[in-house]
Amino acid sequence: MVKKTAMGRDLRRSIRKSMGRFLAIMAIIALGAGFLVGLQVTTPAMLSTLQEYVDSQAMFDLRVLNPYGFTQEEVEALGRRPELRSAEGAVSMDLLMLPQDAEKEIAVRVMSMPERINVPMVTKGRLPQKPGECLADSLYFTEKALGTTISVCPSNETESLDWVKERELTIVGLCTSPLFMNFERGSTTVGSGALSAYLYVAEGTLDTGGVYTDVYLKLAQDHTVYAPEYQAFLEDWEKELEPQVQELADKRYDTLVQDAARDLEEGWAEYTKGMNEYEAGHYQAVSQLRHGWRSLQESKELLDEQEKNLPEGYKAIEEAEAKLAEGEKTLADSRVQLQQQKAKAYEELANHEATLTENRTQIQEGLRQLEEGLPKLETGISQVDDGLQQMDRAQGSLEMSLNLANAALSSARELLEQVEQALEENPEDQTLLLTKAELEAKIPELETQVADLEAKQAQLTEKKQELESQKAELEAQYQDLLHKKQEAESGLAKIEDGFLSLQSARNQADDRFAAAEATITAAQMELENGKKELESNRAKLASGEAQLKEGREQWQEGYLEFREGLTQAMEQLGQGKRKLEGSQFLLETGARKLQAMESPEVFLLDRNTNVAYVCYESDSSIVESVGRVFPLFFFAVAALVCLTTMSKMVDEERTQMGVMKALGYSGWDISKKYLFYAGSASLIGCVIGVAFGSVVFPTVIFKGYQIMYQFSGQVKLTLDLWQCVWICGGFTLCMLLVSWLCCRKELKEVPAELIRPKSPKAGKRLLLERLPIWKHLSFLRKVAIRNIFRYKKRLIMMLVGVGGCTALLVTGLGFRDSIVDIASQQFSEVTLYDMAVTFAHGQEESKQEAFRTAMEESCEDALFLHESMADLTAGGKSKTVQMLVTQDTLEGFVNLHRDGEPVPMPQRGEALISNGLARNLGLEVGDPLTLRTTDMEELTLVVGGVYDNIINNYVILSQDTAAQQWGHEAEKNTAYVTLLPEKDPYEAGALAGTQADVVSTLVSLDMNNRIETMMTSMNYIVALIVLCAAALAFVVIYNLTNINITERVREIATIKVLGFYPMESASYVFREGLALTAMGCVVGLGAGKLLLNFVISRIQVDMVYFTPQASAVTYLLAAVLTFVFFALVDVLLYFKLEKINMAEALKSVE
Amino acid sequence: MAFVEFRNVGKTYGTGQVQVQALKNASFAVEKGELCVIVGPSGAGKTTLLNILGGMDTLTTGQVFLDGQEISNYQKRQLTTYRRQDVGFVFQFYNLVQNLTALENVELASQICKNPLDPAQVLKDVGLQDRMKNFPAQLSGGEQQRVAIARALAKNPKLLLCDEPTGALDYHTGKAILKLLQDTGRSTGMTIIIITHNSALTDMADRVIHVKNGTVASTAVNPNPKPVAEIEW
Repeated sequence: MVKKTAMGRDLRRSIRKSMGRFLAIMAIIALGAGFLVGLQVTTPAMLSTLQEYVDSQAMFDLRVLNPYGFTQEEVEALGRRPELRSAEGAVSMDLLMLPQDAEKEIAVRVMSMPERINVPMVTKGRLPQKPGECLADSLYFTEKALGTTISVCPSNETESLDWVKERELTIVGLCTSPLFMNFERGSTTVGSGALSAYLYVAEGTLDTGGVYTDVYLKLAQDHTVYAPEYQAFLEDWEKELEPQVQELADKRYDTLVQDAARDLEEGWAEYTKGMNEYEAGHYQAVSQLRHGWRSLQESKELLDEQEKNLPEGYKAIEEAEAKLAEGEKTLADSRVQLQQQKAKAYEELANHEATLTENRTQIQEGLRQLEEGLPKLETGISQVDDGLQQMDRAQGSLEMSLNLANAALSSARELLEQVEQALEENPEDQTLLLTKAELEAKIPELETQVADLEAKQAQLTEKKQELESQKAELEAQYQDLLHKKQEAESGLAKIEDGFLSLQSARNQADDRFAAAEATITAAQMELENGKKELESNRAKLASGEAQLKEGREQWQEGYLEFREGLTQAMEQLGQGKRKLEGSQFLLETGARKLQAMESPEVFLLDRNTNVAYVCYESDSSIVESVGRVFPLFFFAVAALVCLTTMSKMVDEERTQMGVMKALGYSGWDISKKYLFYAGSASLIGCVIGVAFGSVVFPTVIFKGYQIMYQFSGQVKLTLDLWQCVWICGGFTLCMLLVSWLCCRKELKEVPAELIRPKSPKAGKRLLLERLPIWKHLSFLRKVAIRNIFRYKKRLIMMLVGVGGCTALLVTGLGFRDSIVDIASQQFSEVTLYDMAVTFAHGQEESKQEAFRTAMEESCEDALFLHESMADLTAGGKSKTVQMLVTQDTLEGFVNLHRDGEPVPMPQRGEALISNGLARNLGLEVGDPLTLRTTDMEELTLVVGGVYDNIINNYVILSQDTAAQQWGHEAEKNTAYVTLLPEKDPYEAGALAGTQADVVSTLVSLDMNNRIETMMTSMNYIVALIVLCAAALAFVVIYNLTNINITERVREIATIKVLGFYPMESASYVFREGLALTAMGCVVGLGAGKLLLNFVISRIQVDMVYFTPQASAVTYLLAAVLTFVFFALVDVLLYFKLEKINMAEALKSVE
Repeated sequence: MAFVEFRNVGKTYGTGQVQVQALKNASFAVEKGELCVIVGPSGAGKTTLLNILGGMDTLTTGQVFLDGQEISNYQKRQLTTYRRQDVGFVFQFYNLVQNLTALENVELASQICKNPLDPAQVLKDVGLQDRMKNFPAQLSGGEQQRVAIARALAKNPKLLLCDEPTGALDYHTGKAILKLLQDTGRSTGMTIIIITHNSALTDMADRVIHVKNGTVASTAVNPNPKPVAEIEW
């Protein structure tokens, strides 16, 4: 187009000269086109990546399920269908396995290695070739796992274990599988309920006896994934195929039923036989046991008795021993006594003898003395007799004297009396008186004489008496001696007798002691004998005891044997019983099953039952819906940038245009330059943008999605040529149009007018200037403000551009805010229960209690209610929802709130719906709706309330409502469980999974984590948006500032000359940009929220209620980032400002 | 020492192969209070001379003095300050800021220097008391140049440099401007240097400097400068 003409050269030079401007247009167009293409191409690229994978790995079109499985025969029968490329049976089972070096077992889906359909893609290593080798899930296993083993846990169900022929599998390769295209491995009934990985094993590892669990069908033609035609075709074809499948299944069923019936019959027969055998055996065993027991009992009694005797024996022995000891002692005593007696006796005898001898000697002595004494005494007596005779004579003399004295006295006394008488008559007769006195004196004298004589008489009498007593004494002595002599003589005789008797006593004693000794000896003998007997008794007793002990041991043994025998017998019997019961149960269930096996329901499942396949579509379409918004915006910015740039350029070259026109070039010729300028920039920009966009966007976004979808390492880049042409053409045409609009006005004018410099655009007074505040502004601010409003196009461009940048940032970051938290919001603010346990059928009170008790350890509370899928129809639209039926309050399990206000439970006939439903179906309180359960039971309800919910759609109604409309309550098939703090929900989930009737356990935390993982892929998209926002900001701010600078070179030079310091001149220029950026930012923050709302509304998924929300941080960050971009551009342009040469600029107006 | 003095000033543009010697060995002096006209044909080096004197450009060799200060050894920032405080410029194309009114254009200069004159008064002095609030686009060329002069004067500079002040004006207007300059010089005693290719203007000057081929050809003092009204061209 550009010929080597002056025009061409001019064009090239003007491009070179204004490279920044050219690049700016190019960049914004590249950005716009790149964004447009990128977002448009990403979804198709992602789909084609899937397509490629699905085709290359031959992902199934239909999966046929028969509860009874299929055999090769049926698979082949299906494979003969003309529409099919192939049909393949597959075996899959879930097992608990323990990888080498791992500590915990994991639930693994083990599948047979397919040949034609759902072929795994080997990413590392090789295919398994012999039994025991396997290909492992590349998501769970790393390259390090190659060569390691993974073993089947023995804790698996026997039925499963029966099928696995190899208990240890060696990982020989890693793979991806079309059945598991995303990170979710699904749920299982083994282990914790969540599958961790899958394995493909070589033939021979699994043996199901020729039965396939699944049959996969692959259509002859590869269809476009998610294509409605494909979907429609499959739906039709499924209808066509179903009868055949049903027929095959029925046939299989018949065979099975017949086999089963036969088996059952045989089983029953066997059972009956077994039962009989059991009973006979039981009887026998019992009687044997009883017998054994009895004999044991008897021997025990015997032993006991013996044992009882034993102490008596011991006691007897002891007693005997005591007696013996006593006897011995007595014996010893008596012996001692005997000895003593003997000694004493003999001593006595000896004494006696001695005494006798002594006595005899004494007596003999005495006798001799006596014999000596007797004559003496005789003499003595005779002497005394002599004395006596003398006395008698003395006495006679004395008596005569006394008689004389007495007679004298009596005569004296009589004279005295006569005297006295005389005196009385003659008292004074002296002679009488004298005679009287003489008499009186003579009387005492006579009296004394008398007394003397009397005393002498008494003395003599006494002496005579004394002699007489002496004579008596002597005579007595004599007598005595005579007597004594007699006595001694008799004593002597006695002593002689004594000697005689002593002798005889001695003899007697001798005899007696001999006898006693003999007795003692005999007693000793007896004792000895007793001792001997005792010993022998003792020995006997000991042996008896030993025997008893032995006997007891034997008994014990016997008892143990018996016990063992009993246990064994019981066990055997129990086993037999159990076996019988088991077989009975099996037979009964078999029979029931057989009865229940009315008609096998076959399932034809298409790819829509594969979670990854389904999610992938919606996930990839998010990009597409986002992609519809942003490009428009970039397009607008691109057009604005082009407009301002081109009009600036046309302005600048106005004179030149005039000259050209004056020289005779046509308007078209002149405008060609501008059109070409803009066109080439746009075209190059488009090409760059398309090239980058179609590579970078799908790659980056797919990278994000790879967090969830690992089936391919690389996105398959697609290039829709028509789309590219359309985009490039559209952009370029648009830019051309903009350029033409710019120069159209100028070209209309006459050359003369053009040649003259255009009068500078007049400064204008603003409304603002009428305000008093204006005066206080510095002139720099005034200039900035006037400039801002001077060029409306630029103002709009800046506002749109910078505002767009901020808006994009708000959207991008807000997108993250809105999406990233949904899981934690749902599970911390709405769904309060920690897990939901689904039961096979309704749980009545007792079972509920049993479940609560079983879970007591970790469970805080459990609420039983009905939860099932249902179709909600309202206002002609239909949605599949989760239906909750409960009479109890959900408080503590589900937080029913609306805008922070609690929502009451629904009344009879009312339904409480989640806000997602309310929005998607346009339902409000009071609107009618219909619910149809999977059992085809219908409910007609009125919306009673709406509550805030994020994930999934719920309809809550009361049992009353169900009872009223159905006549029965909805069965309580689900338990919402809250756990005690600090209990591991996974463990609790696994525990719950083992309870009776439990079909599945859904741990909220698990869901939370999964959704959060899913949402992290959004980070890539957010990063991309932020990057684009940055690019947009750069282009727009650069462009504007650049225009400002080039346009005001003279002004800048002037102020430089006026002595403005560099920073002052920079601020003079940039202040305007700053103000515009600030304005754009404010606009952008608002627009960003709107854009965010729009984007979020576009990506609304049925299952999730996204609420557009941007945090304060997001707004702040968006604003700050915008200013940072502005600052970066200004730093770049500061140097350009510095380069402006004052002197050159002042010369003249070009 | 004279108020303004050039000593053997040389200026070479470009480096390496293509070198243009715009000024060589130029020496002259201007006394304080003089109105000096530097005259010479196009390309003689007048503008280079002015740029150097105005602190807008640096010299290659020699020395330049103003009021005893050697400005030829000033750094960039010092030069800026020099322009800001000591020199007033009047350009051929006025170089007014389009977006500011006449008054504001004057203020633009006066606001940044130390002891400015009152902008309104200066505008009144140049005869624009009625047009102060007008934007440049609303003013005629002569009026714009008056604003430019007012802007230069408002800074109360030591030196007023005028680069072809009448170059873009018609005869009468040009004369009026020159008269304004001459009157200003007379009344304020300001040193004014006018650069022009119009040798007719030499008559109004106190001192005339001829520039030719990049050097000062002659310096002459005019003992009897004519009033502008008497000059014809």
